[in-house]
This record gives sequence, C-alpha cells and structure tokens, in this order.
Amino acid sequence: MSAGMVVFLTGLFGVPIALLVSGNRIRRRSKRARRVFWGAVIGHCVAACVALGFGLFPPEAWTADDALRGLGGFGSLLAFPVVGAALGMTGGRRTSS
Amino acid sequence: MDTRPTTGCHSAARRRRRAAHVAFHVHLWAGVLVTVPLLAISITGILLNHKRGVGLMPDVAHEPTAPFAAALPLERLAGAALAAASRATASEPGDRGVVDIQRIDRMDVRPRAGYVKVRLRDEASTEVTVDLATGEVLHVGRRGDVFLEKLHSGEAFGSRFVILSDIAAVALVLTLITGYWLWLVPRLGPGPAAQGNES
Repeated sequence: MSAGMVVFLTGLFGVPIALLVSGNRIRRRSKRARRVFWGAVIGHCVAACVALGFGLFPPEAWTADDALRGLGGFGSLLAFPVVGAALGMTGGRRTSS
Repeated sequence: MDTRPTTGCHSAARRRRRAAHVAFHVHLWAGVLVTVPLLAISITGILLNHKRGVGLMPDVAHEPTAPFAAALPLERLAGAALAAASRATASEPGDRGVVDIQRIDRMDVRPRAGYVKVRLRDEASTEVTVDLATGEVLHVGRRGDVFLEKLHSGEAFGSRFVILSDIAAVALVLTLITGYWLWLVPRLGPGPAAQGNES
C-alpha cells in the first residue's frame, strides 16, 4: 500500500474516529479545546468536498507529477482537519483591553 | 410480598435502555465514519444514472445497414476499431493485420442498432463504434462513466478497495435500522405512566 493511500485512509476513517472520540463531553472542555475541535470538524467537511471534487477528475486528466490532485484527492482529508485544528488553536476572538 | 413482576419490568426497562444506548452509538459512529464514502457513492450514482445527459457516454444514432447475417467477423471489426483509435490518439498502430486483443477490454454487439462498441483498455476507456456490416467507424470517443463506475464501487483505488463500498453499504443499513429503532421503539413501548410505575 502506497503512502498516499495510507494518508487517504487515515483521513477517511482515522480523522472521523478521532473527532468522535474527542467530541465526547466537548462542552465541558476548555474554550481552546472546543476551538481546536470545531476547526478540525470544519476542516474535514471542507476536505470532503475538495476530495470529492478532485476524485471526479477522469484519470486521463492526471499526470504522474500532479501534486495538486494528490493533495486534493488523497491528502486533504488528513491535512485540512490538521490545518483547521491549528487555526482553532492559534486563532480565536481576542478581547481588547 | 411477591416482587417478581416488578423485577421483570425493571429488567425489561433496563434492556430497552441498553438497546437504545447501543442503537444510538451504532447510529452515530456508523453515520460519521461513512459520510464521505457515502457522499462519493451518492454523487457518482447520480452522475451514472444520467450519464447520457451529462455527456459521459457517447450516444451514436444508427440504423442497421445490412441483415445481421451479413455482419463482418469480430476480428475484422476489432482491427478497424484499433486502427481508428490509433489514428484518433496518434499512437502506434501495431503490426498490420494482427489484432492485439490485449488492447481490447470488451466488444458490445448491438444487432438492432447494427453496430459494435469496442472498448479499449486505456486510461480514457476509449470506445470505438463500428458498423457491423461495413466496418465503417461511426464514432471514436472516451467513456467517462467507466472511471465513475470504478469510483462508485471503490475499484478506482485497487481491486481490494471494493470493500470500501461494502463497508459504506453495511453502515448505511445499520444506520437505517438503528435510526428507525431510535424513532419507533420509544413510541411503541409503554407510555410515561407505565414507565413511572416501573421505576
């Protein structure tokens, strides 16, 4: 199994499992943990749309060094939730003092 | 005082609560885990249902030019198709007079329409439509629905990945059953008054 396939399957099944586990009693967690969780959820939702869009490209439109399709179709399901979680961790509304 | 009926009611209520708990978690986990595969299966399914409308499949209107008994041998029809495909894609035609059957996926004979569809084993799943009686090439084009079918079944990732669509299908059935369970069972059980007596 190729590395791309491992990344794809991790994003397809691993990320939802991790989100389900971490979503347990989310209201009792800190504000930051909640932002990380929702960032990852939104990232995964966006990634699902992106991966589906790239997946519908016919194979003759692909080339071996097509990094964008590889990232969009295979890597996005793992990468986008990570990016979303990172944005949730670093971002957030700051109160002016 | 005999307490057996009350104990029976208690255990029945406990079983119902446990079943509802299990049904809820199966519904939740199965639903979330297969959302993306089910979305892919649904979208590709809709596109496949309307493959002619969205131009995924060449549609050649043709009437038979001769009786079916006068049809050319399959070998000649295949040769004509391969030559036409090579011209269309500017690829190597191969040895003249020898039909390379390794390049052919299938030949779909349509006697009522008077043609044969020769599908090639290339990335684009090129399909050549050839007149059965004259060997004239009617159309050369790609079959976009072949890849969609593979994506629909999970085969696009490899033959073993058909299990992906199996998992999604089983999870969908489980989600439906548990969804109905969670919706109907509380309505079919004893009312709130009876439940109050149980507890």
